[in-house]
Amino acid sequence: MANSILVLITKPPYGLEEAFAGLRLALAMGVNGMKTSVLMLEDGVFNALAAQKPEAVKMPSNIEATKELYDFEVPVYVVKEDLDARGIPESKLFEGLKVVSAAKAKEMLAEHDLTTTF
Amino acid sequence: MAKTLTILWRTGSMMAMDANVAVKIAMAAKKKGYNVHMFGYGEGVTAVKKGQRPKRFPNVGEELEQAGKEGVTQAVCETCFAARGFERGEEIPSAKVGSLTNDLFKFVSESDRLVTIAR
Repeated sequence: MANSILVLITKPPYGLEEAFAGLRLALAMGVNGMKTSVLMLEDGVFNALAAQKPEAVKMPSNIEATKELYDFEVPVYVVKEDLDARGIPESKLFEGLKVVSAAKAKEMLAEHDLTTTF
Repeated sequence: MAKTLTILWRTGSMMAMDANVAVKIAMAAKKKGYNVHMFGYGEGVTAVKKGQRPKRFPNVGEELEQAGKEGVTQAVCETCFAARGFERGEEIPSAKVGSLTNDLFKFVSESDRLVTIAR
């Protein structure tokens, strides 16, 4: 029996459906009351940029998909080292995200019963 | 008490063996006494399309049907299924066209292990 799940988002937004699909899966778990967390890492941190313009490629907004999680108290974390490696300062992220160290991200893996990767 | 495994697969019926591998894992776990659920998400939904006729490759639709007969429960994402132009009734009998919120949540909440197969 699982009581919690960690959803890893490793792919960038747009051009691929992966990140959006991961956010929707997290929403489905969260609305049912399961303890759910999302962790953006590797190229997944590009989903955290506030300046995304999905309308330019006629795709649904990953920012909106992320913010819908907040309504169900699903926290969304972003790995600092992966932001730094890509030259993204925290000031460029949209609101509500929690920046964590890679070490903390590793701890989060152990804190959840199940993990899935997108 | 038997443990439960959910396999979440997200690649399609053709061009990769991922779905076939997912069935193999499911059957191996079943033989070891696990309860096994499979959920097709994204491109994964194409693996449950009825009437597949691959000429030179294993037929994953038939493999899934056989797994279903041996007790592996299967569901796929309805939104993903419809997005690809499939209609209800076009799925193999062993698979349910379901949802993340109901079917996948149920599978996940029952599970001791979750295996994700994707590219």
